[in-house]
Amino acid sequence: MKREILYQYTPNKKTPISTMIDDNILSVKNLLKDCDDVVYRQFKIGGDKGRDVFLFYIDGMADKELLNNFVLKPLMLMARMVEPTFDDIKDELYEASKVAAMSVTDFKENDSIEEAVLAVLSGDTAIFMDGESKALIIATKFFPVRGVQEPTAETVIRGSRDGFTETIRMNTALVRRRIRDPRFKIKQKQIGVRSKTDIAVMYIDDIVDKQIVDEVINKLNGINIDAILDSGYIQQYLEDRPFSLFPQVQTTERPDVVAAAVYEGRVAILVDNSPFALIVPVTLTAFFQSPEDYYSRTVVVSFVRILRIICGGIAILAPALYIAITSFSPGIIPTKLALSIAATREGVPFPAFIEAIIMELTLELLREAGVRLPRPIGSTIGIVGGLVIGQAAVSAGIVSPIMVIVVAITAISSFSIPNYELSAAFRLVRFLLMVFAAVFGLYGIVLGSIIVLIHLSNLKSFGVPFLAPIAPFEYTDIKDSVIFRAPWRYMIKRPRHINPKDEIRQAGDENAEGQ
Amino acid sequence: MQRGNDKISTYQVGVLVYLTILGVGILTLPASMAKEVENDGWILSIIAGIICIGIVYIMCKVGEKFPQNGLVGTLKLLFGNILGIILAIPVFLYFLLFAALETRIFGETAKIFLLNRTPLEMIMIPLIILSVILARLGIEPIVRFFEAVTPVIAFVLVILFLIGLVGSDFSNLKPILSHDLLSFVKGIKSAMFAYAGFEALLIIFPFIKEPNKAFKASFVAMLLLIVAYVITIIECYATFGSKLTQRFMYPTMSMIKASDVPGAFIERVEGILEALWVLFVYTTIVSLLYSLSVVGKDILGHIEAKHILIIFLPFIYLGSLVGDSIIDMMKYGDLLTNTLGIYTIFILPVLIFIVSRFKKVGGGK
Repeated sequence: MKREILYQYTPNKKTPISTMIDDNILSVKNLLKDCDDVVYRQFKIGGDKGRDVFLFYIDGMADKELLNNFVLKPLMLMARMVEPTFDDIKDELYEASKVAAMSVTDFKENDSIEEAVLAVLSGDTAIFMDGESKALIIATKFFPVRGVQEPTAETVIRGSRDGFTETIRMNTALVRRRIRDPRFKIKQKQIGVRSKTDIAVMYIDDIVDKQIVDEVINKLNGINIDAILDSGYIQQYLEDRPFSLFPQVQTTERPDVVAAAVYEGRVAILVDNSPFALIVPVTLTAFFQSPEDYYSRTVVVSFVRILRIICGGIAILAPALYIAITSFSPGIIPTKLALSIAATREGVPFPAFIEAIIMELTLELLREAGVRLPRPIGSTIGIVGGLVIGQAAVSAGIVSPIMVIVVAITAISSFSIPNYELSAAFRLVRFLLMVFAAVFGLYGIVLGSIIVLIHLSNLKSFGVPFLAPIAPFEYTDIKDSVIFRAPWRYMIKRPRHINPKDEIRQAGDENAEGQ
Repeated sequence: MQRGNDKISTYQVGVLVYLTILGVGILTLPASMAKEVENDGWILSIIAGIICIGIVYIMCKVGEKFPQNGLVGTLKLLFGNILGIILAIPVFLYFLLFAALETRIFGETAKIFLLNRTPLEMIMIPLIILSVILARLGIEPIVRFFEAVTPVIAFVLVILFLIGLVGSDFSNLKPILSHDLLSFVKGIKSAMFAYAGFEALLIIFPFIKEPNKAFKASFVAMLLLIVAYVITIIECYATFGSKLTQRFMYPTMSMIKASDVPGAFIERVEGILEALWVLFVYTTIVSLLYSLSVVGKDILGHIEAKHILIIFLPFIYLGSLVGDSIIDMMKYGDLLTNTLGIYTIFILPVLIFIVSRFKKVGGGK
């Protein structure tokens, strides 16, 4: 059965604007019936016998100051005082007011009622003039917005502090400020039959692989939903594997990250009402990188990156290893340690697997509660949680002290992964490996890792293998990958695994490369 | 960079060859070499490696001549449809039984060093299922998987070699070259089968992006393998002496067990190594199964390669259960290498090479 959205609206239906202004007023008021936030204003140009003009806008979304001073004032008052007089240009009034009268920078013309109404609904003001079959749309968007603030999810010590806001225009401006290149394209379209959300696709024309742009545009065109409220909606349409644990689209709140990605030949997507930009294609290595990596010094960054990889390993493996070692092969660790673990576990009534599951679930609970609670109460959870997974659980004999250490290390490690979505994926992988470790011990951990690795090897993000540049191996891209970032002067080429049209990032002598 | 068109790069060919060959062989190799020529085992291994490189060269020449046909296609072209298929069937059986043998030997070692109380079947079944899952996905995900585990494999090998140094006494290697030519000739077969796995090259040729560079990649891979094998053998001999080495079932693991690393945090490294050894075996089995599916598809026709594996999954499992003990299994293994193995690795490539020289057919250059 074919499902259809019953609601039909622009651009599917177009009522031409009539030259009789009363017809237009009627149809507009009909369309906007019971919308009490619409303001209608009817007036005449050139005194009592002048031409009928009708304008309407949404209260709260349009700039009244601008309308009063630069639209109504010139048309109603000044038009009567200056040469040529109204009677001289009676016939060209529309042209004259467009060209000479109104001192606003941005206006468009429309020739259907629906388009005019849509513009008004987005915050613009529409003007109908008697005897004209066109509507003037004045850009008067002016609504309450949040200012540019420091992003909360991606904090850096070194680097810019501005983050995206909910207004797409401000966001595109933040990116444009960093890319003063005419070949930097911002293609805009509206998605959502009812919400008409603005989406901006951004890329640099002569760097990006055209196939990626086409695929993005194709996928966006395929969306036929009533409303898009956040970039999270779009993200789920862009991903090939919606059921995968791993995000195949990168999200960021930072304009510098978007600019860097676009310079590398990726495509960024901004969605109105969402402070999160989407970046495609993305690889696993990108999720281990923080924007700060590119601003700090090489050796420190490389160290931090190695640290992150180790943390990723711990976040996935620690509880599974605990289970495998305590219940399958205690001989692997030194005898003294094995004995002390066994001694602390003596009073614990559960097998290691149950013990680990209890503690990991408690940790998840604490994390979730901490996120949901209002900020003042949030810190209470921390204290309560610290008591619960700390001293109390041990002295009650539910878990062993070693398990507390394992859980704590796991938690700290998973928080040091820069990307929130990836650390969420890792949390789930951790549980999978715990189950495998409970069944097969160390062998099970390797089997579980193989499963995850099979999935990762098979995953692609917009044609780019998810494990690139490690697999497929790309020698030049190792300069900026999981464990190392070369100093900027040596990163001559753009990452090859993204397949940029123009690979050279730095001009210079070929021989100087190896210095 | 290529996108989505079932082609693998030169580097990937090397990784594929390396990881296909590296499997359970390295665990038993020092013992079998010591049985043949005692202290000269590592020399025998080098000689066998060089001969294998020669065969790889022949395979690559054949592959370059018929880059798009694949093994069965080439056979059909040279010998006609029916004879071609008949000639290909042993290859199919070889891959199937080889994969089963590999699984079994790994299962046995895992039971000894890792999971003493787990039934053998429960160790092997997940491994076979996971191998089939990856092998079904096609050549590109397979090589990407291989590349992704390469750092881990390299790390394990380095650790293995470093631990092997502990407690080794290199005077144990003496005397060198105390055997006559005849015993070398006798031992060469079993030395060569330590390198078995490169025959997958016959199958993957249609997927190689630059067929003329395939030999270069495989050559480097084979060279690195010879190095790895020789280091393992020498370290085993240096630790135990060749007389003692032949008595071990899995001398490499025993060597790790015997080496007590001072100040190490981990007490029994062989447990962890055995767990990570899954990756070595897994890559070998996946590669064999993929070759199996491609050959099977070409023989049977009209069936997709990935369905072949599902159909033959029970047979792989049954094959791995042959023989009551590991000793029995080794006998079957010898039988396999003596018949189907020699046919696939040696006779068939040479036959194709010679026939393609005389018969002026086919495309290529």
